Amino acid sequence: MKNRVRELRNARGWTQIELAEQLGVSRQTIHAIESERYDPSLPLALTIAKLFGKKVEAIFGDDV
Amino acid sequence: MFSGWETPTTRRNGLRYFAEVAFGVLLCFVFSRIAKAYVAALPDGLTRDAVALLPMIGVLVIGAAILRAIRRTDEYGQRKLLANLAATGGLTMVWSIGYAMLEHAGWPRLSMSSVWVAASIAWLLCSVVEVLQNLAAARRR
Repeated sequence: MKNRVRELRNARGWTQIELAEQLGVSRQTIHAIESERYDPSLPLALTIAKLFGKKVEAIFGDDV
Repeated sequence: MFSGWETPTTRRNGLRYFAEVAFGVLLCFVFSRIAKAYVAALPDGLTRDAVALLPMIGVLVIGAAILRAIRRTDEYGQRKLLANLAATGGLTMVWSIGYAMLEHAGWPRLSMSSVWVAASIAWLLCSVVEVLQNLAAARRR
C-alpha cells in the first residue's frame, strides 16, 4: 500500500529516528513503512495519522 | 535531537536486554561451577538431581529476558521475529529429517542436542538473509 509518511516527515524536518521515538516504534519500522515493505497495524496507522494531524485515508491508500 | 541508528527507547531496551542476558549467563556459570563441585560427591537421589539442575536457573533467567525483550519489541520487529522463527523451524526440520535418513544409510549417529546446533545455524542464516534484504531495500530507495 502506498503512503505519504516520508513526505509528511520531511515536511516537518524530522529524521526517521525522531518520528520513531514519537510513535514508540523502532527506526526500522519507519524505514519499512516508508519504503512500502510493511503496512502498519490499524492502531499504529491511527497514531501516525493523529501525529500528523490528518485522516488515515489521507496518508495510507493506493490513491494518496 | 537524536543521533545514531536507534531511538533512545530502543537503545535503552537493547542495553536492558543485554544486562538481563548477561546476568543469566553469570548465573549459569556460577551454578555450573557449584554443580560440578558437588554433584559427584552426592549420593543418588533428589538432592543430587536438584544440584545437577542448578544451572537451569540461569537458563530460565535468560529465557525470561528474551520473552521480556520480545514483549518490548514493536509490531514490525515481532513480525520479523515470527517469520525468522518459522524459517528456522522449517530449516531445522528439513535438516533433522534429512540426517535421520542418512543415519539409516549408515552415517554416524548424532546426539539429540545436535538439533540445537542446526537451529542456531538456521537462525544465523535467516538473520543474514534479513540483513541482506534490508540493505537491498535501502539501496533501492
